Amino acid sequence: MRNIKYIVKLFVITGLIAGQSCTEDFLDEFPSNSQSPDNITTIADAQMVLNGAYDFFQDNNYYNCNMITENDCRADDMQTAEYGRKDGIYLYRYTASAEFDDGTWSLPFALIRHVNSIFSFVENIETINEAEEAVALDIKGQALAIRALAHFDLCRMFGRQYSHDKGTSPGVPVVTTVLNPYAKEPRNTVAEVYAQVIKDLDEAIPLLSTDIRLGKINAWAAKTLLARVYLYQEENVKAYTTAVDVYENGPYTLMSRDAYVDSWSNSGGSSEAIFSVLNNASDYGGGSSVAGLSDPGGFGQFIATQDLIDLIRSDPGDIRNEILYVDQVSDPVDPTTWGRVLKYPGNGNTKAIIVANQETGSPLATVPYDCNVPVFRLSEVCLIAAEAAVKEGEVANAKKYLNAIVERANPSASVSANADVTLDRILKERRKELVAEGHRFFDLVRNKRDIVRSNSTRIFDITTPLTIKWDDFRIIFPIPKSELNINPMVQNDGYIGAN
Amino acid sequence: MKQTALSLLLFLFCAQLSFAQGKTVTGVVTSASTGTPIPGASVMVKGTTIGSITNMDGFYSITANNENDILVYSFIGMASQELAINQRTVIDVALEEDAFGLEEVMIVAYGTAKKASFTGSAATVKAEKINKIPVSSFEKALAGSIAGVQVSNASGQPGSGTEIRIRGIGSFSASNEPLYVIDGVPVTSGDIHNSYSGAPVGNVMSTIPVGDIENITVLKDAAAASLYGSRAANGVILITTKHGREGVTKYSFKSVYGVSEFAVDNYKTVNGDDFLMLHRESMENYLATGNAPADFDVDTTMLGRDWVKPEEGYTDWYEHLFRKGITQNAELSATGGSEKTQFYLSGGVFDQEGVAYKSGFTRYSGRVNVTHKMSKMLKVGLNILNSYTDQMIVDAGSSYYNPFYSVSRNCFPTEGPYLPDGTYRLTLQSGYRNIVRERDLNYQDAKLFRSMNTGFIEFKPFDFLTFRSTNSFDWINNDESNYASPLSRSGSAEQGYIYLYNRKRITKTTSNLVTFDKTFNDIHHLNIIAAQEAETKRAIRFNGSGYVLPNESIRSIGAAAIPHSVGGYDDGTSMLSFLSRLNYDFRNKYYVSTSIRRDGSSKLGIEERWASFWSVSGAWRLSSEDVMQTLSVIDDLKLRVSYGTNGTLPPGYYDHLALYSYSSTYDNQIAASESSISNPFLTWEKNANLNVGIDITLFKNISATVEYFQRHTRDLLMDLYLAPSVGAGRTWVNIGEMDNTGWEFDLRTTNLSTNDFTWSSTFSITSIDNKIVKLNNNEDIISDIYIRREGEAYNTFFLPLWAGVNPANGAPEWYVVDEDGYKTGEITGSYAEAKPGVAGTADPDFFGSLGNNLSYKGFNLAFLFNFSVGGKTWYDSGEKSLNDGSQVKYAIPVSQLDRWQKPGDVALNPQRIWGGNNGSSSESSRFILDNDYLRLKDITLSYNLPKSLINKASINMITVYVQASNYWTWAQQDICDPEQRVNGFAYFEMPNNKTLTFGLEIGF
Repeated sequence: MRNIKYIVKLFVITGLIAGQSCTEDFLDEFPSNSQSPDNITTIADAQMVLNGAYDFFQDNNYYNCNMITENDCRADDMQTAEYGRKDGIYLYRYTASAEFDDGTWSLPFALIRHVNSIFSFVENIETINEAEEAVALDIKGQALAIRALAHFDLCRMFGRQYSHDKGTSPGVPVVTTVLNPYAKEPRNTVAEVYAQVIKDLDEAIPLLSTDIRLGKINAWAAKTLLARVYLYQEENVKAYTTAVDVYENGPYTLMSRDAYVDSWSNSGGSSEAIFSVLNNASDYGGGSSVAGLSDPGGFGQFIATQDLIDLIRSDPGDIRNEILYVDQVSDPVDPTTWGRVLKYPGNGNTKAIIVANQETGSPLATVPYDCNVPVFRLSEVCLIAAEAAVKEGEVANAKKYLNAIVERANPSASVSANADVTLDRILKERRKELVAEGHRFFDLVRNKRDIVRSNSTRIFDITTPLTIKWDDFRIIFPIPKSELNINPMVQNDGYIGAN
Repeated sequence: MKQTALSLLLFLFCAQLSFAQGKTVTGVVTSASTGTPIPGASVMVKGTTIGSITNMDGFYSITANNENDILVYSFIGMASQELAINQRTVIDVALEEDAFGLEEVMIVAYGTAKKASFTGSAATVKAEKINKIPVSSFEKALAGSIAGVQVSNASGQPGSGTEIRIRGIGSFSASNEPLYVIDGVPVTSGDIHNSYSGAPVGNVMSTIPVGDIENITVLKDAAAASLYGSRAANGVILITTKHGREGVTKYSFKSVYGVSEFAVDNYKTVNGDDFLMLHRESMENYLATGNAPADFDVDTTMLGRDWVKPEEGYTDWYEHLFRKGITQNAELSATGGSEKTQFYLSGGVFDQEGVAYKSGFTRYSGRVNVTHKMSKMLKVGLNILNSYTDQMIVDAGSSYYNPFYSVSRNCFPTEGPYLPDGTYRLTLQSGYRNIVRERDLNYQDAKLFRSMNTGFIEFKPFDFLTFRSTNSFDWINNDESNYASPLSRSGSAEQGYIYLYNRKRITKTTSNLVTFDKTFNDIHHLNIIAAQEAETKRAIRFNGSGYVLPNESIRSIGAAAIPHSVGGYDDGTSMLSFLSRLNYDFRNKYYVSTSIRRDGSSKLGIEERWASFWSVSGAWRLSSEDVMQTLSVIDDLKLRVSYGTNGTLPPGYYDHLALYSYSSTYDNQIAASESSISNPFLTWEKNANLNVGIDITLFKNISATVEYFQRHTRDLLMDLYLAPSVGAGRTWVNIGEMDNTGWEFDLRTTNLSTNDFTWSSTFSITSIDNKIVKLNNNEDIISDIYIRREGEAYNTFFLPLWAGVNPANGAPEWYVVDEDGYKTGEITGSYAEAKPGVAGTADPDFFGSLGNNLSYKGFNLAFLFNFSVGGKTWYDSGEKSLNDGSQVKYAIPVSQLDRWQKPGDVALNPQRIWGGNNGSSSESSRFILDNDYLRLKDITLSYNLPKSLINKASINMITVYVQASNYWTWAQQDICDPEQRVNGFAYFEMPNNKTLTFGLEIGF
């Protein structure tokens, strides 16, 4: 009898356990931090996806490091101090399979895929009123502008400059849809990429808000990009009018001389910052970001060349002397002697704090990587206007916009004689103003000027190339092996396949 | 006293059961070889449930039904005997040693089987074989023991894991590890830590003390493993923990003391004088080329880099970073019980210092295994393990904080970790940070607690029918912390940081099994099982980090000024299964078995969620055939064949879903991005196994097994790299097919067996041919240095082919290859012309072991050799280290001394030139090493004190022993330890250790 009781109990327990597991959805499990894209239905959801696009900018493969360091280290104003980071880039040793970070290629494409998905989300949102409709369109505009920027950046790194051959050589694939995972897109020409970029920006600008928003793209940022694209394309008249539109009609003003040095350590940006990638204390690129590579207490290998230091030092009244922390570049083994550009000091780390930290060990205000990375700012707009004007022979206009920058740096150094307003003078000013922001390399190459590193630049490797001609094949990065292994694209001249 | 009372009770009990006034028989059961009585031997009346057990003196009493009944005498490890009563009242029986364990009962999938009648391919390892080796987890002790099983101890760090491959590599991207089942419950295995650089060091199996294990069965083919269905493609390892037995409580105390160091020299670098000499030479050669700038001067350069002999002499960095690690282990266990309640209790402490300073592993564990017979038909049991491990971790892989990486790369003999005034040097000549300082200031540790609880209820209403419900709750909690001092280089930017991770793995399983087992007419034996199972697993993580710590002593996250990040997840997976198996044998001569299992898993796409796995096998005991009786040399000959299917699940929980992840932020707002592309057709990898085996026992002293197997896997899961221009990274798909074909030969002999002296040997050899049969569109996949190509092994190296050094000028040379990567016969001096070619595979041609066991009176000497022939290893550091002068920031390996110096030299390395010699150190097969080796894996000398001496103190057994692991190695390459990861990639794991151990075991 006792046994029967046990038997019954046994079956009941077993049945309960078995029964519980036999429900239909026992085998349906969902992750805790993710959801199906079918759940993206409201404006707020689309906004989060758009934030995901900006999150890509924070990747060290893009604006938080490579977009700046890998281009600047190939020019004559910035270099890497030793082996360990970007030395393969500085030494022009990269090939499709070695010394080249293929994230520089793959990340912008991941960003392009991401923004392409935003269009279908936005279309499916049911907006309830005009205000929401405007927000939805603004989201679409940002996505378009980001797509344009990503294509433009890829094309100028992996394709020949438009000015060399009117864009007839291979550029990068133009991707305007969310691709099938097994797609193997061929390369479009540089001209086709530029055409798509301009088309996207033209479509985006009317949709975008004109309010100031530092960490995100607005109409002014899109216009700055458009002006830059026209400049690269040598469409000087269009570049000029677009740049002047931003300068005269936008809500930005050049930061003052007094505010200059410490504005770089201000997380709120400055009066002239149009679009910067925002990093904060819990969300940043880390030790390998451009900020970490500029930090004397960090890896600190991204340093100014002696040429650049000498150039800035040649005018003692120039405020930009103050953003050089050390002005000599010497001993390879002693990092304290390496010249650094303090554009990425970290939120609240004014120059005084940095000097105190290095000299007496007093603490910094924050981790250095907690620092914004400028993508578009008004100074560049002025310089675009000046360059475009001088190329069209409009000396008066060129002088006006050139002096806006020159006088801000040193009020007594303004350029007065028309004969002094030359392309070289403007490029020199561009060099001093936009150093360490990823421009110099392209400025030289698109203007068909050779890259010349003088021997006074402290080189740490005897094989450093000193003169690189503007049409050397290494001016263009190789399509990486990880792409060619799957997608047999045309490789850039001079590189041997996937080797 | 207690015993006699017990036997009396037993006697009465038996008497109660008999239907009539039956025939009573008594006697003594002894061991034929030693003459000593066997307590606990079983005596049964054949064909009934009437049974009895011998007492401490080997005495039994049993009442059979009538005089013609047959009594069956059996004991584990002994050959059973069946004797007809034949009107006797006293029957004494001497049981023979079952030398080859044919009568032994093996633990197999969902039950037990006699080795003699098992139709599948399985190998057993008994506790005694592995419990003397002082390892943190039992898999490390399995190396070489089992044919067909490759055990690779790639890391010597205490608490680390081992790679086990049963019959080759079955999967491209999903797991290749076997399924581990403990006491009938599949358990979590593998690495449980946050991923640090390098091989995993958080092996969850190290929570289980080796001393608790009774035996291990490795299931290799479909017949053995298919019952585990969707997780069994790579084989199954069954572990059974010790259980109680009726009788006086027996205690066992074990104590072990061992000393470890690296087994061989790994990545050895040159001493100070050679270091200076080699750099000088490369600079002088550079000058001789005429390419040097006018102001290049050798002495100035040497001085500028501080490359001079220091006043205090050269530094041997090994002294500062490594030591002899001490291992200590103490275990106490008790086994005992009554007829109704039986228990096994154990408690132990295991402490192992790593060879690297500041690495180590400590474990405290306690176990209670209890069974209780509630009534004649009902039995319950509970196995509880509580285990706490505390591990100090050093980084592995290429992390700067890996002392092994540092000493091989960044540490030069021309300077030491301390400045002349005794303070730490901050930066080394190589430009890297001082590893000694970083190690002293920072730490990484993990504290793991596991509670594994398995309970069962067994209801046996009739002797042929059993219902068993096994339910298990396994709770693993892992707390890791990673701390960097504000003074250290790694913590300087954050002004000190602390990262904390808490990971939990909670697994609940239920398995409800019914077994029908009956013999009809003494001829037909039928065994049928059916079961339903369900399992849920939850993986939970919570982590936080803080920056800016006040000073170097306060290491708590509460004191961090900036709370940096918080994260976590709570994810789960579940599985539902139904299974059944039928075994039939006829007269112990013909055996047939078939099984089926149906699994449904939450990890699979909606369209492919359920699948069935089946197996069919048969065996024919040729030696039972009448015709074979004439061949008296053959004691046993069995032929068996099996064929069946099993599978492998995708590794991730949610790989089939389309997902957007919300774990990122931008400007403190939530950022969502695509994390997974939908694949509703994501399904299992399907593994079809064919196995043919012959088991033979000859001359009573030789036992051999020959097996041939074929493992064909299709729908292989590939983490497919997509074109970067697609922007999606990778996605899981089922494409591809792979074969593993091979044979195993296993031999066990008793060479000599006298009263005092026995000598037995084992030999096993395995050969596995691994080949990819089908890839997506027959397209080669190039993955880092490997190529996946149809017709080649999975781990095939694909690199520019090194042709050696030109004896005329000391320049490097490579082979020119054709489109498919095979040599054309030409040689070039230009690396740009050297396209990658097929450069061999990591898989050995064959591997195996040779063991011997000798005993004389109380002494026992056992030793085991492992060998492997034909495998290759990729020496990853070679590209940077064997640079022939092109790099200044790396230490120089000893192998660079063999270099070209003048025309006519035949040398291993090209001429050293400051700045490099024509790209000689570029990635190529120059760094592929032939990895044949022979290793004395284990040698143990033990002595059992004579019983006469110790019985006076009421002690049953005292054994003292000396044991050495990995103490002698011959390897074809002298760069690194020959035991590397199965894929042949030698990186910077903490090298394997050799250990010398002294042990004491007392049984009382």
